[in-house]
Amino acid sequence: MFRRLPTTLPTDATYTTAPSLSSLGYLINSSNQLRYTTHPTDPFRYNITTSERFNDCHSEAVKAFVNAEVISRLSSLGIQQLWLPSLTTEKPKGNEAVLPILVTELEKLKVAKRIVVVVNRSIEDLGIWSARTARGEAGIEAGSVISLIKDMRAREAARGEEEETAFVIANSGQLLYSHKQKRAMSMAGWQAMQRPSALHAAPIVDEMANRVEGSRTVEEHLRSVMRMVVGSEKFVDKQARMFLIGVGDGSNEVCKILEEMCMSCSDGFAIYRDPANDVARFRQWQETEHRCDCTGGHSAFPDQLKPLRSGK
Amino acid sequence: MLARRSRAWGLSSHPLGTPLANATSAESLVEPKAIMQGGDIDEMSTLDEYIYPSPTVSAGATANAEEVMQKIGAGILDWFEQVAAADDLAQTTSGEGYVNETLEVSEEVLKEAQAAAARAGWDDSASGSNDEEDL
Repeated sequence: MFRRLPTTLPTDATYTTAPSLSSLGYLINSSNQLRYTTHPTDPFRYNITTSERFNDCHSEAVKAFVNAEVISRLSSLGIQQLWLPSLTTEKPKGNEAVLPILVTELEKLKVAKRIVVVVNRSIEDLGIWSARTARGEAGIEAGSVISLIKDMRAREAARGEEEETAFVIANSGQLLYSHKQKRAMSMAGWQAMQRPSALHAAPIVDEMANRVEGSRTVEEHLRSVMRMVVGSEKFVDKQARMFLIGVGDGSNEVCKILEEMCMSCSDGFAIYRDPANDVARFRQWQETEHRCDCTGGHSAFPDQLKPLRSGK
Repeated sequence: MLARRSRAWGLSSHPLGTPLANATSAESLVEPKAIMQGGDIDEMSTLDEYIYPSPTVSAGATANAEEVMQKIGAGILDWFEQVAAADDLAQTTSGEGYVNETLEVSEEVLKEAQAAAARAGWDDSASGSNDEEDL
């Protein structure tokens, strides 16, 4: 009888444990493009080996450093991370599963008169339009929300406006939390975590332990963002005007929430008769729902929305 | 609300910003649905793909959804500015604020949409149906 000892199994890719982007052999040039340190004109290549597993791990490792660079550049534009569900700007030190969203610095968010809420595709990391675009010729700014924020700032500067438009960027892509790595990650990131050997399967996702409270699904996450951040007077001025951007499948969630806000009640447009202020109408909807005398519509309100209405 | 105050950018071979469709409602599509499903209009959910909740314009000639935001980011901000300007004006004039205008969808775009629907098997006359093989 024979058995194979664990030490003889093929080793898994170790890219995801790399300490820096340069240790993976990359740099970010002055045009914001990812390039090889040794060949500064060569762009990122996915197929660096004949093993799909190694290529995926390498790609995810690079992606993690690009994400960190984007977060860093956003902080210089006044955008910071806000951790859910604790609603703190510092990452909680406990064992609680948390995930970050991006928001304008809280002092500015609180007084902003216009707020853009972005719900990105559920396969992308926080603040990244497209990982491939960010790693490609277009560069990390064009491939992330940095481009949108810089465009907005340029427009405001051209108009001579002093008040900045605030941003709230939901994180519908990184809904898994690894207690081992102490960070939120996408399913692709989860699959790329280093395994005991190349023959081991990916860690099993525990639907309780590896999910963040209030953000177990994209829909739940968006409701949490809308309820705890955008709909909360602690963070947002009552008179602020809200603009929503949904990208790809993120637009489905945006449409679903907007339709529920307006269509669950058969007299929905009576509540929303004045279209001048979206946030005010959002709150008005929360406050007037129980007084509305339409028939049948209220039973259509999903359970998840109840805290919204009772939180007034 | 989506029909009145939202806009969608969809993948299309037409230049960026070309109007593709106006917002439509489920009610307005009952008749085409009945034809398509041989008179059975009970299964409303299967017809969601026919409904455009928002007026839709082209996101520009791209086959790659990943590049869309790179292309339309400025267009989104332009549109937001339009909405904000109309709402600001409404506050001073007691007007209604921003409401989507009806987009003028060209004949060419409409024909292409019909052809695409036929190719997708929504039209009985389209080839490629394999219902018989399924039996």
